[in-house]
Amino acid sequence: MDLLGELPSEARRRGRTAEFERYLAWLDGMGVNTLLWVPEPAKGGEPRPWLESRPLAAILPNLPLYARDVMDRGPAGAVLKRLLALSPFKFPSLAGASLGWTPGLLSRSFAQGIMLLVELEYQGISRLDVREAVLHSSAVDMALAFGAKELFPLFERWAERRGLKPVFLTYNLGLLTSSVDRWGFDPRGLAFPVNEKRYHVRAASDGTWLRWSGRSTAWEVDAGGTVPLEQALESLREQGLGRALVPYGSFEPASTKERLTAFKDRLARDLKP
Amino acid sequence: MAEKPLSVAIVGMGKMGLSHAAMLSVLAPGSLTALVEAQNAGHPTLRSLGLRMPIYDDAESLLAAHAVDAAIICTPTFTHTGLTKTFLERGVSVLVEKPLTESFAKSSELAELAMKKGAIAAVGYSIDYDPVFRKARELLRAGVIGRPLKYGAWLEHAEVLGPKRGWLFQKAKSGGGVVINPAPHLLYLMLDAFGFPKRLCANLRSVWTEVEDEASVELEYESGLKGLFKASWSVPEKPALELSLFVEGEHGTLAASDDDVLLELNRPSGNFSTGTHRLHRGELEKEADGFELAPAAHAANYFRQDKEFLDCVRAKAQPRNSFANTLQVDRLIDAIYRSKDGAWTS
Repeated sequence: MDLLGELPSEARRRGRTAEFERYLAWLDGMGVNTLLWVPEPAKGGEPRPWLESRPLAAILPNLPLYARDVMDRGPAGAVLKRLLALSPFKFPSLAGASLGWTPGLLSRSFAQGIMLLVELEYQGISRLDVREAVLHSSAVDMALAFGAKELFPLFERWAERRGLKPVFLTYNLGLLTSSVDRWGFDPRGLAFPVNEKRYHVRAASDGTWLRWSGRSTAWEVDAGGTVPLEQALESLREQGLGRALVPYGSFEPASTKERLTAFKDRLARDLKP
Repeated sequence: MAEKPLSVAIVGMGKMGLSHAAMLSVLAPGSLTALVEAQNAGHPTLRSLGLRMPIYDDAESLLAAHAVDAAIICTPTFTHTGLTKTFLERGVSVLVEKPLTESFAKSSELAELAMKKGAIAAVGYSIDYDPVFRKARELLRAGVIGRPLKYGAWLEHAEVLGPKRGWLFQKAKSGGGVVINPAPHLLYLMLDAFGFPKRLCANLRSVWTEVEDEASVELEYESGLKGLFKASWSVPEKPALELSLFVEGEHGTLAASDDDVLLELNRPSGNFSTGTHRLHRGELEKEADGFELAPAAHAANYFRQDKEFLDCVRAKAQPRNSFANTLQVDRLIDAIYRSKDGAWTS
């Protein structure tokens, strides 16, 4: 089975370098090469060795970070922040890519606004070995809820031009299935939760993904660590799914006893007698 | 005969308004009748999302043109009182994003008005619909760990890591900082699980803004229970909002956080044997339907909340998170702010 590792955010790795390196070695042991990563544009300080050593699948755009920037600077300020973080050498390529979107951007199109963010964030990481572009689930699921179908072909065409494999990440596979059937759109790559506990598996019967099994990546396979990874992967194999994300959280999880002890210590520290 | 579909408006189309619009589009297609967004520069973006309903600049224009059954109010806090009154006065049911208002006095006034008008009036405490925290409260109520002796409730988020501007950081407009903005969810849980404290002592600290960025509150209850509430929106390691609750009881301990409920029992209780147990969100959230817009923020809770709100509007029944039921949160926030100099307040 083709497996994908996860490069957690800088904040999640802070103070855990040794643990993260053990996770990478563990992935190596399983033959996992590609890392899934959510770039943090314009933050700086990203340690490159982990990124430069492996093929990457990048989730674009980083919508939670964008939403936080919008609160501080407004939508134009958030876009400007990403633009100013790029090297000026990237501007011609960016201008070329964005030219076709100009009318849409001027009329404040949602789909083309998302694509501008995707391109801006991609320009910041384009020198790395990025092979897949995964459209952020909030963009996909919001477009599905509102029926903003133009985002889907726009993203696929953009990825193809960049030589990337396009993947749509959704937490609402049932809604995606009915929507793409209605629109006559056949996605080239999909990612969605699949697990025995049906955690985050929304409105999708087990048979729904079979039609896309060859081009799908399973997410949340161990249902938050409640299904042993081996068992979870075996179940995917039986269902014909050939690719899965091995989440960082599934590596060396603390025991229930250890976690309760940590809470107890914290309360003793914070609540003085 | 088929039931007449509800007509719902959303007021304020920022991040929360858009999220509610997405939920309603899936939950009750066709129910979203109109939008209100004061900044008309944003109207074309809303249209390009596929939102074809009329968009108004203000609530009065909306009400002049539509007879809506319910409104979801997602505007900045300082506008809630006026907008909520506008809808309640016309008998329109409301779901107002938390906090209800900037002060206990204003929230009390709205709760009274809602009662007088008989309108369905709810506050957006989506945490009430979270399967992990709901299970934790259910276990506490069932006495699984025996009588609670002490507890800690923590909120951490990397939201304010430097100087900030905007209404959220001006006390006159937002009502305060971390206590009144993200933390009401946690206060709601504490009140539901333990009731109102006998007295409390708060220490509030501003680091980056004019409002409090950190709060540490000790609480004492009639039963002898002691509690700690600690909140900070300036924790760099927490890109997503994190809430946790830990309770020590006579017969064991219970912890609830983002993903699971943990138990350690020193004697069998209910269906649980002596020892440790873990109940993961994946086991508690067995839903084949629903809609998840942002899993890290557990946005499916908003979906459940909106569903119950619409059901209550149809049934003309108050939801659990009604103005009347949630007023205690405003009262507790008020008590925390009154005790901010570190003195005990009854």
